[in-house]
Amino acid sequence: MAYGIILQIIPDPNLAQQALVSLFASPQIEQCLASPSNSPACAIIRLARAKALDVNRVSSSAIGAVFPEQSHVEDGNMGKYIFDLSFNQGYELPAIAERLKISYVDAMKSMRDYFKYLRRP
Amino acid sequence: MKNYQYLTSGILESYLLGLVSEDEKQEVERLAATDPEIQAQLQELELDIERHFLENAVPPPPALKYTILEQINKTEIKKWGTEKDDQSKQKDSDKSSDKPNYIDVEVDDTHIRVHKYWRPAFIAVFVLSKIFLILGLYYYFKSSSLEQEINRLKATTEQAAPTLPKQTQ
Repeated sequence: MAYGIILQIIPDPNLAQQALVSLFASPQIEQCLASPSNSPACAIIRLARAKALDVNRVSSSAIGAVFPEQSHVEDGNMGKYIFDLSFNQGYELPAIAERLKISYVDAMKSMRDYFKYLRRP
Repeated sequence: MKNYQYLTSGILESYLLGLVSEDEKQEVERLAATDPEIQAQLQELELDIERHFLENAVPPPPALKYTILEQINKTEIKKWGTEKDDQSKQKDSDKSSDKPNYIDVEVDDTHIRVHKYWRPAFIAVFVLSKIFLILGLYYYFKSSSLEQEINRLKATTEQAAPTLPKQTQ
């Protein structure tokens, strides 16, 4: 699961494997799995994302370099687009909302709608 | 009503994916601790998110497992070494002049990993030990039977010896 998440963020398999090794060797994974309040799967998802974004940032300094234009996005794809910017590219939700000229609440609702769409059987 | 708005705001999904700010994170955790409805919704979303990512999971190359295990072992040794470093600094400084600088490794499990050549070496040593044992037992019993034979012959000679002079007279 962690490798799939990392590959979503870093398409280069070599870098993705580097990030995976670094993830499982990090002390945070032990702490997260030991914490009773979090589900292990969600903890791994968050850590894998954070690690992949770190590796991506170091290797390509992608964050902040290019922010895709809203004009390419259709309304139906807004949730997916916001999810991609936020989860895969590491932009913060308030920054996304500002750039897309929508409210922060709407940005989060779009994320929720996208998840509702994904949950459909 | 307030709960419904909160549940449908998307903050729970964002929280589970680690996309919220520190303040929002604390707020969700505080509300989840007091509100069973939010807690239940979080648990349901956790399962959905887990299912989604498992469905889209990509297995890593099998060889990567060994790299990860090797890296974990290295990290464990380094971590253990750093923890013990402060405690044993004083002790080490006294002994370092006399002894080489070894790293003590504490292993939790009961298994050890050895080189593959240890297996034939162990089998060879085992077979040789059995051969030497059988040879030892063989020569032991042989020597004891020879000793018995010698004793028997000696006894026969001693019995025969006093009669000889009489016969010669």
